[in-house]
Amino acid sequence: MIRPFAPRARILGSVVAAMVLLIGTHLSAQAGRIGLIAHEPPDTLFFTPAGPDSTESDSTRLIWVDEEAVDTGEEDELPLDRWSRPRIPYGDHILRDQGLRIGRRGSMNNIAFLFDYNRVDLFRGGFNFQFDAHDDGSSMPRFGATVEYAFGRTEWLYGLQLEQPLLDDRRLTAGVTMLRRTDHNILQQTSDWENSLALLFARQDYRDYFEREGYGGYLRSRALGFTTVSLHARQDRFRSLPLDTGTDSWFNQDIPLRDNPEIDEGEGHTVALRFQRQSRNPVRTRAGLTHWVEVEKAGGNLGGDFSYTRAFADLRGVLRLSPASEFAVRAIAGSTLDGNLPRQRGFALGGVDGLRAHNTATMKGNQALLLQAEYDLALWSLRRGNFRGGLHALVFVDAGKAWSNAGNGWDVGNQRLAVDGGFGLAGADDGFRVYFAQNLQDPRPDLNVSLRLQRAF
Amino acid sequence: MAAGLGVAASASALDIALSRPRVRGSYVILDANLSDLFDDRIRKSLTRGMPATIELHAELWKHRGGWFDHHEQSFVASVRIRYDVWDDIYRVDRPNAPTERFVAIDSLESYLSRPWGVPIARTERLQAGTRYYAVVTGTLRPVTVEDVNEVEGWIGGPGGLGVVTELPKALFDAVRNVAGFGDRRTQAMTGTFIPDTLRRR
Repeated sequence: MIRPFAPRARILGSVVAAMVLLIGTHLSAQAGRIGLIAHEPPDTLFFTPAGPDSTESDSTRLIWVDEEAVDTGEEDELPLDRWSRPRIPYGDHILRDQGLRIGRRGSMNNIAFLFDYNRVDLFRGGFNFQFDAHDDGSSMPRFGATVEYAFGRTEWLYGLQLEQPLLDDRRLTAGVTMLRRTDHNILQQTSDWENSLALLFARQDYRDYFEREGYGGYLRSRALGFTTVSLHARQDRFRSLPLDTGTDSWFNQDIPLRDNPEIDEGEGHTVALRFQRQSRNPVRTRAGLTHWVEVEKAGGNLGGDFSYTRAFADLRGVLRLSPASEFAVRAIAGSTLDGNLPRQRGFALGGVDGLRAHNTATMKGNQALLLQAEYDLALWSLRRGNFRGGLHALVFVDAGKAWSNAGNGWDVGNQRLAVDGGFGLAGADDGFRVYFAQNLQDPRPDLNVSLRLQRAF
Repeated sequence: MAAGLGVAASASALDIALSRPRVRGSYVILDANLSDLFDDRIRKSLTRGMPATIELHAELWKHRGGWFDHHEQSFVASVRIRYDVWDDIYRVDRPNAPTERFVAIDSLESYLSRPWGVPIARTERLQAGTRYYAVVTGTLRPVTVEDVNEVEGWIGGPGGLGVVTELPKALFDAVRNVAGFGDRRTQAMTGTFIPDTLRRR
């Protein structure tokens, strides 16, 4: 009799906690109205918004960030450093648009050193070279190249991408890519750094790997404004990668590593239609909606070893509720519309990316649904002293499931969704965060603790 | 991050005071007074030639009774402080203004403690009779990405390749905090105001 009621009680508890935090938001906002001065100040240092005739110096930044622009504008319109942008979770990352790029100011050339430590490559190191005009109005091509060496399996890996604008302001671009890389499931979105540190310190590898080698081309257009639409054609060969039993960690050495699951090896010939708007806005102004929607078809007249049609959508939104709080939501839906989806193109849920109280890739299948919500409240009262950078309280809930349907039906009504919830603490500016997650459907749940270097979504 | 910040604790704390907004030209202006700008560690780093950046991030919010307030727009103003070793002066760069020079760090601090006139909205965009308020976050950054860029510039030389690492920002922040070069932050909020009632000056 206890089982049915315990999850409801936990869900109710989470809702009550969220309401308390919402009320706390308003209280904290009221408490923050401090420090007024009464008279007109002399000798004011005036700052004016940069207009079209302004001459901003290289060492200063002065921008207007209208919310309208954040919601509907082009991706590159905020002239802030790339490092402040949230990490873009999708793509091959040959031409990289975010991350710290320590380069000569105004330089068009950059080299990024790449590091990764995982349970199939062991240490993988290399560099990424990028020629990029950093100017959306430029008709210059963009070129990126990645060369890496996987020391564990003694293999060279590479990636090349060339992109040429066809219309002004990059409204239409054409590109080609060629690569051989250690790839992982599309829903396992922890960064190389974060995953490497987790493996090194906690003997946790949050991703399942396979090798992808192939080439392709694409046409991409920003003409629609609210989204970037692109059409991709690719030919890729997929190979399984075995677990390297020599994978070492500094701590928790007695914990067995997860095996790296086999994939369906073969060659895939695919075309894909993609709509994307990835957030490139800095942390404080990241309110708005982003999306990644893709329909991929393989086989049929295209040939190849696989035949399927897969639809996938990842929608995210951040709503600023008050100066001290925000509400982030994410909805993922994936479905195989026809054919047999190879395992490497399937959906995997569970782990630090989604369903945070479940172990990594607990659920797998050719259909998926994931709903996530996270409330973030800045605790201003702790902004002094040791927590000068600020401390944020987090409350979250994840609900979803990945399942297989032999008839390729997205029968979510027949599924019992897993529900995880919990709380966390975060530093200011999207830095370190620790999550405490529980399976809300388990009467005696374990408390899963995860340390992150970035937001879950 | 919390652990890192804990190591970086010091006695002095950056603080900010805000005036009631006023109308100046076609903008609503907020005067922000910064105090306790430089603690001992920042002073030492400045005198040793390390640059610093002070940034004010002003947000305008519209009060909505019975519902969450609405973020209208934001404005970011920043100044860069560098110590010119050759001329033995401190240089302060800010947008659309000539570079200011100071021979002593006290006069530099006095200059930066003057009110910062920060625009928070174009008057034409505000609705008459509606209540608004502003939130200003002041941040002193002893080391910024731009500073790291400059270090690379010395390495790469003019026209050379940039050297890049993709170290996560969270890790870089942690290292900065442990080293005592973490950001100093303060935040303040105005009372609510109605645009029609603001003084014009």
